[in-house]
Parts: sequence; C-alpha cells; structure tokens
Amino acid sequence: MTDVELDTGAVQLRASHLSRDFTTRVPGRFVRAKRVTHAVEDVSLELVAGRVLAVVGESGSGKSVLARMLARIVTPTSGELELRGTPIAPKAKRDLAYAAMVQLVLQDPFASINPVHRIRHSLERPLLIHGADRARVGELARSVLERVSLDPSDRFLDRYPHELSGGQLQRVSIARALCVKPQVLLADEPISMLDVSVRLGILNLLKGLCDDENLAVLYITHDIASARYLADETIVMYAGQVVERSVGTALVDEPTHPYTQLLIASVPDPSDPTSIAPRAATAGPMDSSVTGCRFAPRCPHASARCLAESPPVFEIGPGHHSRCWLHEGNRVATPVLTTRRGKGGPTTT
Amino acid sequence: MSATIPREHEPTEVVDVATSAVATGVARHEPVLEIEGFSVDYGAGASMVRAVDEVTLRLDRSRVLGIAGESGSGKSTLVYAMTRLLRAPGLISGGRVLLHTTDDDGVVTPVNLVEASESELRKVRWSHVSIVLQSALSALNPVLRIGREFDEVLKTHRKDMTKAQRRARAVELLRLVGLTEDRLDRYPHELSGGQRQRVMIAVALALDPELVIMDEPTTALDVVTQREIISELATLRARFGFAMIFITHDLSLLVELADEIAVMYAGSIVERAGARELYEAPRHPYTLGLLHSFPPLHGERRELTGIPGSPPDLADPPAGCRFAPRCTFAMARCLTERPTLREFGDEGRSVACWLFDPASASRVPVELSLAPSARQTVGEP
Amino acid sequence: MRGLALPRSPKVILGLGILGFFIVLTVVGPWLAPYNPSSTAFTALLTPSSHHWLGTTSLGQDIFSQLLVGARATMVVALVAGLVATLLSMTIGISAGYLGGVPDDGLTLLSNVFLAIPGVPLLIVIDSYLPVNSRSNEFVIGLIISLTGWAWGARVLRAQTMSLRNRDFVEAARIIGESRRRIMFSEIAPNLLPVLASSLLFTVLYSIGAYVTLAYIGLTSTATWNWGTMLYWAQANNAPLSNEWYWFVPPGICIALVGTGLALVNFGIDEFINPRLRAAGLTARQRRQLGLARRPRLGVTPVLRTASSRQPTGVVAK
Repeated sequence: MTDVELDTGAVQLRASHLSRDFTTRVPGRFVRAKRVTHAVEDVSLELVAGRVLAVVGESGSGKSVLARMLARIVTPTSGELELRGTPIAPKAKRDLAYAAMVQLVLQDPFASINPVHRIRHSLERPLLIHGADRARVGELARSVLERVSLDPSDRFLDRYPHELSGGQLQRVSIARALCVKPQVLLADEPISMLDVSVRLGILNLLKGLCDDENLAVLYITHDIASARYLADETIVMYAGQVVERSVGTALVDEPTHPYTQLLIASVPDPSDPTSIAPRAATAGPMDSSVTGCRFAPRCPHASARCLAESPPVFEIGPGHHSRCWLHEGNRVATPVLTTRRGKGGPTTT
Repeated sequence: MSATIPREHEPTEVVDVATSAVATGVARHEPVLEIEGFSVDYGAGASMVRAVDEVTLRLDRSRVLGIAGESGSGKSTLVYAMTRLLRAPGLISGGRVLLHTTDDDGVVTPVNLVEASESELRKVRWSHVSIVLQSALSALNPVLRIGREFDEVLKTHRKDMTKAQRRARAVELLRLVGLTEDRLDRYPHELSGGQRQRVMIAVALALDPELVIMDEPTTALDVVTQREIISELATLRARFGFAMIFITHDLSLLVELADEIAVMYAGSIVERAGARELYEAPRHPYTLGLLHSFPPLHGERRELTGIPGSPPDLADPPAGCRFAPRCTFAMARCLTERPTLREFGDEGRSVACWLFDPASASRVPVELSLAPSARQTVGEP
Repeated sequence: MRGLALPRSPKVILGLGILGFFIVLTVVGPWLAPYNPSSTAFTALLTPSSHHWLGTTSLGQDIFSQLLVGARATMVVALVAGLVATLLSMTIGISAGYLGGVPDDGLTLLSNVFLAIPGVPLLIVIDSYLPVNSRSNEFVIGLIISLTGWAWGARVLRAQTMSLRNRDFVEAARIIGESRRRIMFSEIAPNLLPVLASSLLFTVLYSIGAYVTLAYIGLTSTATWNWGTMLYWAQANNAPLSNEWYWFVPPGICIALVGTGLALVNFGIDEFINPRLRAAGLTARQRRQLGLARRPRLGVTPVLRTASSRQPTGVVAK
C-alpha cells in the first residue's frame, strides 16, 4: 500500500457542512424542557473513486448518523450534497437514481437480511427495482455472489439467512449493495458484529472493491487499528465534530489531538508488555452541549480557554488537521501525553 | 480419559508484576478450580449438539485464566454450565468441576459443582464464585435502585449484617470500582454502560469470592471505557487476590490481562499456554490465525489474511480435527482423526494438533515453532 | 414457506383434525343430509332413533339434516368474515405501524372507535338496514361481521409492525430503493405470519359467535339453515324447557368443538412465537428417559449420569 498520496481520483460524493440536530424532551418538574443534541456538526468530506475514507468514533460520536445522511435516509438539518459534481437536495427520500449510485452496508448482518426470505430474494429485489431484465436476475445474482467470494453461488441463493454464518451474511449484505452497481459504498461498522477470524476477510473484500473496481468507500468503525489497515484518509469524530483528520496513516502514527491519543492508547496492544497503565484522560459521556471544546471536560491538557472557546481546525502538516487549541499557530509542539506507545515517533514537532 | 491434566507450576516459576502484590497468604500454586473431562450438550437424542467437549482445565489461586474463542466455540457455555447456571436445553453430560472453597478459618474444602445440590450451589455462588455477564443492562433489574442489588446479595449471604452495615459495605464496594455513593440511589437506566458494568463488578466482589468469572464484560463498551475497566480489574485483583476467568473473543486483550490463556475452537480447547508464550510463540494453527487477525497499530502496512472459511456447524462437525477445513497446514490424518489436547515440550503448555504428535513424521512449520522471546514479563523491573 | 412450520404436538394435531372434519362437513354436509331440512313431512318431536338420529322438531323437520346443512352456512360466514377481517386488520395495522405520523393517528382513531363500539349491537343496526333477501346471503353477512371484527387484530399488528419498522432489514430495503407498499407487505408482513395466523383463528372464532348470535335473535333469514337458526327455533318452541335436548345440544356442541379446534391450533402458533416454550428443547418423554426432573429449574443445570454419554458420538476416540 502506498502512503500519503493526494487526491487523484474523481470525487464521487462531496458532503459540505453537514449537520444534524436531534431534539429530545427532558422531563422536568412541571414542563418538559427541550434539549438539542448536535449529533453531527459541520462535517465536510469527499469520497473519491478508488480510495477508502475511514471515520473513527465511539458510540455517540455521530458517525452512523453521518453515514445515514450520506445514504439519504436521514435528512440533515443543514448542509449540501454533491454527487459527481451535481448538487443534490439532501432531504431523505426514495430516489432510485441516487440509490443506484450510493449504497450503505449496515452493521449487523444477522438483522439486516430479512429472515423469512431466501438469500435469492435479497439479491433479486435490488436488481429488479433497478430495472434488470427479469430473465437474467438469477444469473446476475450469481455473478454478484461470486464477486464477494461466496462460491458456489448456487448453493447460497436458495438458503435462508439463519443457515449462514455471520461472515457469509455480511458478504451477502455487501453483494446486495453491489447489485445496483454503485459508485460509492458506505459501510457502517461492517465488521464489529463478526467473529475475529473472518473480519480481515471482509476488510480485504472492501479493499479489493476499492482497488479493483474503483469504488469510493466510506468505512465507519470504532476500531482505529482497522482504519489504519484499510484507509487512505482517516477522520476521527468526537461528539458530532471532526477532531482530527489526516491522509495516510499519519493520524494513527503521529496523533495530535488528545482524544485521538487517548483512543490509540486504549486499544489493547499485546506487543507492548507494559500495557495496563493508568492514564491522564478519563472515559466519560460525550456531550455536544458544552461550550468550548467538547473534549475539554475529559482532556488532560484542558486550559481555561478550552472550556470557554471552541477551537477551530489547525493544519498540522500536509493533509493533517486537528481541532485543538494546542496547535494554535500551526505546528506547535504537542505536549507529549504520557502515551505508552512512543513507537510512532515523536508527535508533531 | 484422553485429555491431560495441566502440570502444576513449579515453585520457581517467575511471578508477574500484578500477582506478586497479592495480599492473601495462600500459596499461589494451590488450585482454586479443577475441571476434568467436562462435556455439555444442548438437547438429546438425534438433535443433540455437543457444545463443550471433554474440557480439562486448572486454575490456581489468584491467577487469571483467559478463555479466547469465537461465537459458538463453547466458551460461555463452559462457564455457565460449570457454575450450573446454564439454562435448558443445556445438559452436563460428563466430567467434574472441583471448586476449592476456603472458609473463614482457612480450611479448604473441594466441592464438586457437578454433583452439588441446589442448596450447596446457593452457598457456593457469590460467596466463593461470582459471575459478571456481558450485558449489565439485562443483568440489573430495571425497576430496582442500584443499592438494592447489593442489599439482596448481602442479605442472603450475610444474615448478621444490619441495614446500616450493608449500606456501608455497598458504598465501600462502589468506591473500589471508582463510583460515588450517590449511584446507590439511581436506577440502572440512569447509568452509562461502563458504570453499569462497574456496578456488576462491585456486586460480584461483595462477598470476597475466591473466583470471579467475567463473560465478555467489556465487549459492549467503548474502547476507552474498556481500557479503564481492565486496568481497574488488574488493581482489584492485586489487592484482593481473587482468581479470575476472563472470557473474550479479543485475544489481544487477553494477552495483556491474563496469566494463562486457553484457546477454544468448536467446543474444545485447542491450545493452552502462558499468555506471553502464546502470543510470542503460538503452536496451534488456529491461535496463529487469530493472532494474525488483528491489524497492528504500528509498523509497515501489509496485507493480512485472517483465517479462511467459517467456524463449523456444531450440529454437523467435520470429521477429524474440527479446524482442519480452515487450516493451511492440514494433513491427510487431520481430516479423519481428531487430535486431543496433550502436553507439549517442556514449557508446560498443551496443544491439540497432529503437527506436534511425537509419533508423526511431519515437520512443524516454521511459523509454529518460534521460540518465545526473552521473557519480558518476569518480576524484575 | 419456512415461516410457519407448526410444532407437531398432540394438541395441534387434534385441533387440526377437528377443524379438518368441520371443513369437510362444510363441503359435503348438504349432500350427506338424509332429508330436506325444511320438510315438515315427519311426526313432530320424535326422540332420536335410527330413522331420525337426532329426532325431529315441533314442525316435524329432521334435526340431523338441519345440523349437516347448517354447517355450511355457519362455516362459510365464519371463514369469509375471518379472512376479510384479517385482511382489513393487516392493511390497516401494518400501514398505521409503518407509516406513523398522521396516517397512524387517523387509522388508530378508526380502530379505537370500532373497538369501543360493542360489536353485536352494531351488527344488529347494520343488519336491520340490509334488504331482506341479502340477509340470507352468507357472503354479505360475512362482510358485515368482518367490519366489526378487524379492530383488535389491527391494534396487535400495528404494535408488532412498530417493533419491526426500525429493524435493519427494513432499513436495508429502503436503502436499495424498495417502495413503501412492498416494504410493508413483502418485507414486514411475512415476519408477522404467526401473528396473522393467530389473528385469523380468533376472528373466525369471533365470527361464528357473532353469526350464531345474529341468527339466534332472528336477524338473519330464518329460511336458511345454520346452527344459530336451529337454536332460534329451539328457543322459540321452548325446547330447553320441555327437555327436548336433542334439538339444541347438538348445534351447541358443534360450535364448541369448532372453537376448541381453533384454540388448540392457536396453542401451536403460540409455541411457535414464544421462544421460551419452543426452546424447552427436550420433550417431556425425553426428559423422562434421561432421568431428569420433569420441569427444568432455573439456576441448576441438569446433569446426565449415564456412563455411555461420556463418549461423544461420531468422533474418533483416541
């Protein structure tokens, strides 16, 4: 795999300043107060043919809502979408032309395939909806199963979902998305529900689709190591905001945002025998309603300014951005968080 | 009886950092749990599925045994059946489980949980062995305040405690797991996932058990919360000296946490070894595959392959070695004969693989014959 | 369809047997009847004999023939009403549950209104507006009854649909661009098959009750025979007071038997839906053979103590 390499492919899907708020009612003593949660705030990204963009975040970071806005099954509060240079109204609706270009693969393969229908149904429906010749759908369904390495395809077509393993079902789920010949594939935590031994198979399948068929892939995950393995560009989200993004593996190798550093330090790493070490930052709820930096309440470096003012995005290096006051004035040295993994070399200097 | 009983650890065995601080005076190589030839079935007759097949294990006091395996490997079934908590249609179909319980005077009595009556089980559970489940949300009663969970356990087993004493003990336990007193009056839904799991751990420690079983306690949690709970567990264990069985599908987590690891595949243990030895020098092809299934956080990016194929259907397991259809080193013999777990070499580890059969003429592949590196885990700083 | 493989318990087999018997009777009943049920050619009030198995009425009609002929009208009305009501509750319930918002509010209001109005009085009102000749038409009566019988099923299906609409496979269907109608009736509805079947059984049962009631109080045409009109005539002629049990007991037993059959089949569906009943795993007979307690107890996993079970089957022992 090549390292840093700036955009060369065509931009298939561009999202600009996407935001989504949810209003929840908080029970109060007399009246129910309204509370607005910023699930996603001002996220812009480009999905490029033949490249994988990874979005890393924990539960509550807004990464799944982001994927659903891109798939147009959730309407953004504000922001624009552009499909191959053509502006698209981002409102969620049934739009066959859009569905034929952008497909979403869901997290849980056991739940995302209708248990009462045979696999054949799950593959033939998208083909029929998108105008395939009824006489040829069987053949097309077989060929798409072969593309996701489910061989012999005949054996799988007439099975019911409960007869397949998790890894096989996730392949069916990807095959269903491929039926419409999309240019953009959004994958929402496609491996988190799978057995460890079959996860790499799915990741390699996504990588293959991207390399060999020039698909633009959005890979959403909570596992930063798998993002490093797969992605050409990585975004880290926290409480609805992008806190750090970089091209290549710089984000994992030289993390600059304290949250990214915390995430990486938390991943079990057997190659480091001094593991289980206490850390400065703590786990805590993600709260999108705080003023100032959203990570500040948990951040070991938080200053008075962090609590008062929301930090803008600073450029750290080519294609590497961080939303943290520590980097004000660009390329300011990070106070080294007592990270136990200095192996990525020094942080930005 | 085919499986061998694990060798006792020599007294000269090096002590790892966490356990050297154990406060209890009990010698470390005394067993707390011995499982022999233990089998569990689901259903009976034609539709019978053997979920756990002749498992033999031994756990010494104050040690952490990690059980790694994928879904359907039988790892959870093993511990639920062992504590007799497994629900219908599960059936124990053979073997014995000896729990060495120590009473307040230090007298050790072995209890065979397989033969134990309902009242004996009630006495042993919580006091001597407790269990923490994967989903704290379903284990905690949604209509009871957190304080009641502690109250119930203490009331049942410590009848002499007054209400105020029980409350004081609950507060003490909560502090141990890093929660404040006010959580006692909350309902489970008011707590975050990590806090609920901490409450479960505190309840499990309420009666100072000798053995705590953790069934994927952190799988449902975010990675940062997982890290915190794992380090808290290490601290608690160092302080109280309980032994622990930690079940997870995440082998890399176990390498950090456990003293010893047993890897399960399709109902049986395929490899058992010290945690670092297993990580640095895996012997079973499945263990090797699992270790290569985690993308690394650093180093050159290169393509990893994982393990081809899918885990077997236990209702119709492959003849011979159950891993053979997915194994890159499979020989003709592997497809017909099933290997048993046998002790191997002089490292006190065992493996169930024909490659290591002394009678077999095959050469052990180089990937599976690495020597463990200089032992970094030893007690010296 | 894999969706509804009923458990083969004795209960279900008995229930299906009873229902099968009455469905056969519906088809062949009128041909089997030895006499014209309306013919008054016989001596009045004969007790059961080899000529008249169930005796005769006060007008000298053969009661056994009435019972056989009456089976058809009763069952046809029940099945028509049951099917139409189930179709109505499926359409209304699934639409309300899936669409949500204003359509849900409207449809829920409608079904609540129908639930709140007592069924039989409403039936009486509707029925009294019918032209007399259509009162003898089983299909018209069936449709009328279905109007009062769909609301309960719609409520249950709405609730079930709401629990399914946020499931991933429904979202997946939306992502590939499936239409709303197809999502509701091709993706969601098959998952509700056990509920639909159960709802069908209940509405059939309700319809028999409603039809017999209408006939009993004389609101259907007395010229056609069904089990309700038999009860109507028996009542009108003081049969219960004059000990003429052979007149009113047989139709009563038939109604009760059909109801029992429906309930027994419903047990099977219940077992199918409820995983707790299904996952019991071992049948009572198996448990006995293995020497286990009759009912599994929570918190004590049973132990098999047979020596032979130590050797796993199909595995080469070493």
